[in-house]
Amino acid sequence: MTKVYKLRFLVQSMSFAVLTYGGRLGLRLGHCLPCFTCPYVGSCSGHCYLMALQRSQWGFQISFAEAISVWGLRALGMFAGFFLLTIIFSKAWCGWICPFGTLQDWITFLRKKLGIRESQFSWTLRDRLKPIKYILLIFLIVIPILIGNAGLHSDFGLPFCQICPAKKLMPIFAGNFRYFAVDISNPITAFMSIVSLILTAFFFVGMFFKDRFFCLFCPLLALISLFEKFGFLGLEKKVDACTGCGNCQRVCPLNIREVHLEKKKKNVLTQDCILCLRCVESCPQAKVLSLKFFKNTIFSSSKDYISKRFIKKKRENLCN
Amino acid sequence: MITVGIDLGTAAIKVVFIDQGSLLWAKALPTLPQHIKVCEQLLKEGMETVSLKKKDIAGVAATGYGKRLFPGSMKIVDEISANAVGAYVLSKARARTIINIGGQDVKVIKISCEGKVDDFKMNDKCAAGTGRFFEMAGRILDTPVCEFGDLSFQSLSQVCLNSTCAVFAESEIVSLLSMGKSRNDIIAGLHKSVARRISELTGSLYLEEAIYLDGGPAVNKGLTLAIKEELIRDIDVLEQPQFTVAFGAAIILSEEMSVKESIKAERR
Amino acid sequence: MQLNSAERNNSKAKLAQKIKKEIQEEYHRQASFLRERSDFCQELEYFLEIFSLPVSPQKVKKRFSRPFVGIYCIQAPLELFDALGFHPIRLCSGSLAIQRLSSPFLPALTCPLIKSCVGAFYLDESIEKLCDILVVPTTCDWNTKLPEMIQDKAIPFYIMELPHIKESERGQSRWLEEIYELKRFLEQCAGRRLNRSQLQISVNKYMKAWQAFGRLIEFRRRGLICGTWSIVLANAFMIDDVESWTDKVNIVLKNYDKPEGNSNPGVFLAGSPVFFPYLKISELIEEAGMDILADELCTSERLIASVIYDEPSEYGLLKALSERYHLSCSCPTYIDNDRRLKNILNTMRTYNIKGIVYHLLKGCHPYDLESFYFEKVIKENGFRFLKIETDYSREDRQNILARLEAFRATLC
Repeated sequence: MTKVYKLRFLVQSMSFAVLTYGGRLGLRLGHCLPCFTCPYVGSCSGHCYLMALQRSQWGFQISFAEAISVWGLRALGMFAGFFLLTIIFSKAWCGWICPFGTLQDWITFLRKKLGIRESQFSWTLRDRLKPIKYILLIFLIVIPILIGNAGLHSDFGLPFCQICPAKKLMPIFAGNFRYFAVDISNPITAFMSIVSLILTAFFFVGMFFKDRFFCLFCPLLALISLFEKFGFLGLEKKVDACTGCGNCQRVCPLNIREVHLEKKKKNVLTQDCILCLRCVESCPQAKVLSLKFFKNTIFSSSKDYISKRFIKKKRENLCN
Repeated sequence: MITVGIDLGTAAIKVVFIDQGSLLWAKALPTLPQHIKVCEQLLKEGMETVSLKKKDIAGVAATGYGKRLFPGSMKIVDEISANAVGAYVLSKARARTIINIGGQDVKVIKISCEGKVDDFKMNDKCAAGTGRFFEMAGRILDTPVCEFGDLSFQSLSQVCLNSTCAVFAESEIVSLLSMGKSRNDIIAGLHKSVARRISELTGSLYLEEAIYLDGGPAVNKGLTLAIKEELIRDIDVLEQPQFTVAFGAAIILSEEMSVKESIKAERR
Repeated sequence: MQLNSAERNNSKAKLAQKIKKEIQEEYHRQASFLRERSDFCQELEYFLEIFSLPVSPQKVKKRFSRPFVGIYCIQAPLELFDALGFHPIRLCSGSLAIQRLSSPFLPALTCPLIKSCVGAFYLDESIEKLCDILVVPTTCDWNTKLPEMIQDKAIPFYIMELPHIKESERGQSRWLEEIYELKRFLEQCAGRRLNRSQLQISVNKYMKAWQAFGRLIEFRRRGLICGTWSIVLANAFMIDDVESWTDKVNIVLKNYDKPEGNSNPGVFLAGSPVFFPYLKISELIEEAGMDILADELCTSERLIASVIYDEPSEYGLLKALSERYHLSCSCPTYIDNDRRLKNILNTMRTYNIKGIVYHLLKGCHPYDLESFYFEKVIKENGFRFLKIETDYSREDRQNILARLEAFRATLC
């Protein structure tokens, strides 16, 4: 039996390498990938759709007149590409492919090695954070529209990219520290770059103490979750057989409670889920949680899997 | 085919002879420490009365608390199933609920349309409101239990008895007597309190029509009336209600044997 | 004539001696009943031997070298005791004879299990008296009041206050606080700090036991090993050293690894705990010709659950432990416990079990309260339901057997 977490680690590392360095080999995967493969990484092989979404030719920074011309069609085409990719892999983009997510997992791995505990959010705080990613999503759509139609200064262009911590952190892997510089060409750029520096520092520290800290606020996650119900992948729960042991809630990097608390509905793919499958891995009841592709079960929980995944045969292997 | 059903109850041992589902002979004797002797005596008496020989009897089925004590039985049937089958056949497939008052237990049995046990309630350890209770009352009141029914109809004002516990009711009856209450009123009160106890036992069980009462105390018409009033339901009593369980055991055995024979015949 | 105090003490001691003998006989009688069963195999002897321990505490001392922690109820985290060098023993008791010592001082309708547990404190030597620490989680009222019942013995109990709502944040965090507090208390007793890797090793030990227990349950569902033996094996877990228990269970299971098992009608045993030597209910069910394919007793299948952590920090480990002993448990003393019934129905559907025997010890109120609602729902779902209310005495065996035999007939 393949261990899912190992497979995931492998897939994540490979996608990280391909998406971050693939450009050097001439790989071009387009501009509408539903993950944080940052266009500012010089050697990247594909671009994050959020940039396209905010841009003038492919997204919302467009005047109403342009919107009904060929530009509008282009934007629509770009969206179609994003939509197609989203429904195929759904949230697996976040949990298995996104290089920025992978970076966060690596940092978490380091924290665990050091034996430092994860910080906890209270249930209320956790719930209050939920809408932030939608608010960011609205801003990153509204500001380009305002630039295109209401004469907002064009230095506000690509507003999310300007403050996104990935823009600062990911280029490091291509040896590029340029985006840490403060751009003082005008008050707007100076303000934006200072805000982004502060946010980057905040998220960098946050990522160390909290699993997938950035994902809690990620507007791309919010965008994907809007189309989740069209997705081919599903996370299903057999509610009658669930004993409520709470393992799924505890191991979830995004502290999702619904999988544990759900007592009626079959579908437990919630808006914050990144399909990392840790809940399925840690569920001790046979077939209570399962990952579905259309109607087919790809992976489901079992006692046997738990025994293989969590029981160490020798004592020496334990302390990692 | 003639089969015999023996019901080794706690108060009485009942033996019935049946032939193709119809009753040939039935008799009961009080239970004595020598169970087997009583059984054998009854068997012998039955065979003599219906003029049968041992080889004419296809088999013996035992039921009741002492069912494992009788060595000559071909089949052991639990008393609840036997009761259900017996009452079902004797009521010509009408019975859906049976209330059985035995020597030291009370059972309420629901029967399915096919005559099988569907659900049942039975008292646990405490034997309040059972046949033993009447025996005790008969002793204190110095009246044979068989006269209870008629006497209770002569009651003018029923006495309220608080206890159905055979031990505590005894002292209660004594004190009622000393207060000058009439015997008939006390008997009517006894019936009432037993009826209440039975209605408590039925509890969550919904009593399906038609309801039949059996077991030894069921011959008591005063008790039947009291139960009717307490449950606010119509209740029938089978003829010779003390033999239903033994009868049921004999029926179960004969059915089983005829099935076996037909299988044998088919193989041939 | 007035007895002087020496004479009075002497006669008391004589009575205690006599009762002690009765208790020993009770345990031995039950063990020999089990030995005489047709499905007894030599490998099971190990577990019967475990049950000679409660009546001869000196043997316990010799057998397990570490200091003892006695635990009432299953909510105290075994792994934590183990990691700090204690040998945890769950102090249940199924002895009828021992009740003679305690019943004069307790309400008549006291839960039999508590009656027997209290009785042990009136013996001159018992496992209870060997324990350095006695931990009481406040599950049911009987358990909560247990320390009060033995007030005159001045025994220092450590009490864990159990939050009776599981699926709320404050319930979970309060229980985690209790676990932290217990940890601090145990560190004080042990005179050393909790070592993170030591705790990981302990968790792993118990996970191995869980794995073996999972196999035992699977064997039981398939009818390869009967309900009574499963219960006895699980009972032994409560006393024995976890590693040797795991090894022995694996050995026993090898012996029962057959392609096919019994084919009597299967029943589900729910309700109050069953603990050696009180095996009346399971033995009677089998005598009536049924197999107990599954149960949810806190002395059997509810006993062992998995502890899964992915945070190896001390906080992560303790949180995993706290949830394992809180959320995973389906004791009826919890308020939000609707999953229990659903799980029972699901098990019955999965393994084609047609009926449920609801065992109730007189005085066990949480189960008693639930039984009425259970009866309604279980019958609505098309299953048979039989409630049997009893205690440790043997006098009602015939009555229960009659009911079980009729119940069997309804299952066919």
